[in-house]
Amino acid sequence: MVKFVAGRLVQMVLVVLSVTLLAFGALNFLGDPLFNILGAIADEASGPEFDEVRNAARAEYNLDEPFLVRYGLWLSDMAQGDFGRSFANGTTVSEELGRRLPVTIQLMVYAQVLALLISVPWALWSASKAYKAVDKVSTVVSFAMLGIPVFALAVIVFWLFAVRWNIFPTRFEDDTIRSRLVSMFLPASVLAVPLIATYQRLLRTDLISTLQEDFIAVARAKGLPQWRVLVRHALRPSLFSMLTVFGIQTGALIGGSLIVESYFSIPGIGAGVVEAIIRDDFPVVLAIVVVVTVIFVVVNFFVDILYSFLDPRVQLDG
Amino acid sequence: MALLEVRDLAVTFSTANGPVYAVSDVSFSVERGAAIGIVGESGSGKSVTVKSLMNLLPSSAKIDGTATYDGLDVFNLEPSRRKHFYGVDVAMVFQNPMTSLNPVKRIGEQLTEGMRFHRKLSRGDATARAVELLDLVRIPDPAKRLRQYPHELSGGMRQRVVIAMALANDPALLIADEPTTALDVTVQRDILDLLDGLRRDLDMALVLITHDLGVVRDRTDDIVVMYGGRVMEGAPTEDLFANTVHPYTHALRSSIPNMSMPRGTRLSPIPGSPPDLAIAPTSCPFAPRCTHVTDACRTALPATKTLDSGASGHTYACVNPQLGEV
Amino acid sequence: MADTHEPVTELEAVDAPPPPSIAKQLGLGFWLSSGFVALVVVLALLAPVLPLADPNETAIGGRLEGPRSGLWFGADSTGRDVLSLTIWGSRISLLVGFIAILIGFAVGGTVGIAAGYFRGVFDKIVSFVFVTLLSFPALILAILITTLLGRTVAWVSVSIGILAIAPVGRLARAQTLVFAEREFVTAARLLGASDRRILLKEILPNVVIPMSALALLGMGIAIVAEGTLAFLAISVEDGLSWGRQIQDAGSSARNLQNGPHAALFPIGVLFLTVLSLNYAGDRIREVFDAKELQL
Repeated sequence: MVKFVAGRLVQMVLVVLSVTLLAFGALNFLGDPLFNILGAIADEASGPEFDEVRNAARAEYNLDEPFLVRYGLWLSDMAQGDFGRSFANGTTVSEELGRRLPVTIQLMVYAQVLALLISVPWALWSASKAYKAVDKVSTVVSFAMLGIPVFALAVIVFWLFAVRWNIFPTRFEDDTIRSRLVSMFLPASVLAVPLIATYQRLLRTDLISTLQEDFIAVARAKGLPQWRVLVRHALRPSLFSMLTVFGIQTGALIGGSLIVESYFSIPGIGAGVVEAIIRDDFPVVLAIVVVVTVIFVVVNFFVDILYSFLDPRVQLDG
Repeated sequence: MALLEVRDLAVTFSTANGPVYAVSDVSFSVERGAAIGIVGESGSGKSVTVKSLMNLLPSSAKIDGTATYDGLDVFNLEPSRRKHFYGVDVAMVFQNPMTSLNPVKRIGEQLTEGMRFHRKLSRGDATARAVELLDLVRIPDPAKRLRQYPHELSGGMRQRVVIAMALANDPALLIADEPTTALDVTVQRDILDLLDGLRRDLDMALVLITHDLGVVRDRTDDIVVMYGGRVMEGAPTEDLFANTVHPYTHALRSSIPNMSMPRGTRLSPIPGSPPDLAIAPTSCPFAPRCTHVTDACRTALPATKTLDSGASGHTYACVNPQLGEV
Repeated sequence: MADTHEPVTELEAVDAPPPPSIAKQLGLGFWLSSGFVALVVVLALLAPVLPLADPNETAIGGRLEGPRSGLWFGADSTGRDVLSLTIWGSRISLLVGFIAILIGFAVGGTVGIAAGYFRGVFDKIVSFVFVTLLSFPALILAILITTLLGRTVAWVSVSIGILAIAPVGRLARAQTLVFAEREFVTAARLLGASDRRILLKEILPNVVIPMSALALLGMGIAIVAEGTLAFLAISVEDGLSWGRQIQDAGSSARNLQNGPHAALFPIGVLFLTVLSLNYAGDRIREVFDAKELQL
């Protein structure tokens, strides 16, 4: 157990280091770093006040030091929670993150909860009807759900439920918890659709093979009703594939949050990164990339650890 | 009236390649508190027979014939009766203890589940009963076992747990489907003796399924020998061994080791392989492998006849019966 | 096991009716989807010679005018012809999708096969690079690269292509590992064939089929990725593409209210294209997986 966790931790640190190196390297080597940091003001504007800004940026990113020193200093700043600052609007990135990150996390959790609430019962149902006509239809539906691009789905859902039928507001409101839950429902559902399809497919396949197991026949012979056999006996041993992609899907969710946050005007990290890109605010982009990647890696790490709780046989030394 | 009465049972599976006739014309009965052995090679239909009784067959299986349990039509139970029929009146022990227990649930949870569902026992009462049951199947330190997971127990222990699970609601009929096949030889006898003892102590009827005539010889009142989904021979245990009629039963007998055999006696395996059940038989299914085959065997299905004009309850389906030692 | 069963399988194979042709096995759905993709590609290629209105010309139809004869997909909020926009828009979507997959396969395929074949330290390094690439949330990585490199067809394709490298590379490596252990490869090696020859003649042909299924699926993903970038206004600058068109038509509640067709037609075409690519890819994988099992 300890050996496994330690191994995964080392891998996690290595990945975070390479990701940051890659991102910081991109900032420094793809084009002029000063321009990358400052955007248009780097060379277009002249005048003493801009010289000051340029010098501040040089100092902030230690541009006069060799690359590795620069990287090390930047990394230690990041580790201390100093994510740099936006030269475009003067705010620090940590403030920006502090404001936006909770919104995005809420949205992602919301989407995951919706996805699980729908996909698990759906998978249980289709596995119990495996290979019958209804199951075939539901397979087609989940295939279509998997194929539809998130941004196209966002437009359709917005058009139908907010514009045409007026069920949900067309603007993002978050003055109360309730209004936030309501405003976030459509975006969260859009994010949930591909997750639902992915989870349903994986869980259905695993359930069908679990249902062939002897211990399922034993449970049936105990006279337990079908739903109880499914939920109490078949579900948990069938969760592995789904759990594996649960972590990976967090990456898809992060990508999806860029789309739905921009489209539904939700002030989260995804909308933030898109805005930052459009105004060439690279320090913000960089910081968000690093933070988001670290979140992603950490989530996947914990998913691996969760395995041991699902299956007591997994000894975690591999 | 017998506790369980099976008449003309037939199970047909519909598959992509056409129907498979897994069980045909099977009849037998089990008296209250009695033990019956169903014996045959793999593919003989013995397992399908009991699974049809336990409602464990896939939906592709079509069941014909009747099964009556204590006056109830097993295949057409009323929903309210059916809810507390399996796992209460009739319970089953499966072949492979290594796969019969849910790997992600503790022993205690699996043991108490049936009692809590059927009898609405409280957690505490169910746990107390679970300890009793583990004691009954002679598992040492029962309280500790309840907290363990299946993989922490040996195969023999697990099979004891499976038996305890089946006994949870005091079934009047216990079906054991090759309960020792997957176990070490040294443990096999212990488990069989345990089942035999429990049957006597709890006054429970037992259907013991096996491929090994030796297993049922001293532990059953009646024996049914199956082949190719059909009953070849059925008789009270003593009578079956004393007056073996069917060549297949003879073949089964000579393929098992026997302490009374002279040293150096060769065991003779039955040559050939079981019949293809996808073809509806029009002749004796055993004919291709039978050493006493006659032309009549190949032209029609042999009718079921009685020995001693039925006095001993000994029946067989063979046109060329071989009485006595062969 | 396998050894004892082989003669039986052979006997059965002789008796069994000849297996249906691959074209039959792929099924009607496969040919319908392929047909649709082919149609989209042909229309995209022929766009300059088709009798289409100039996609940039406004006031071809009325503001958000609905579909009618001659203006089959209707007009958008500036009166541009939606059909013409959709066909011209497909050019960048398909081109970027195609180049991206080409890059992904050229780099990921080569490196993956080499890693699987040569193993050792090289394999370890490659595998780690793949893990790192996959640790980036995909869209973020694409955005990072496009932002820094510039919003041209070439760079957008490169950034999406980089996303394809790790998944393609992993599959190529896994497939190579499987085949590198097979008898015919060992035989070739014993006969003194060079690594280069074994890789090209023995391994590559066997890795190509599962990879071709992935190529179709990957095309779909790449097209969606480009659409997403365009939808976020960070794809090819000033380029017409499906994502851009859908964003144009779909980002205003009022426009959606008055003329949803301007967004729904490109969405429909995009959806069908991606679905067709996914389906065709899935079918190829299923049919050849089954073949693989029979071997």
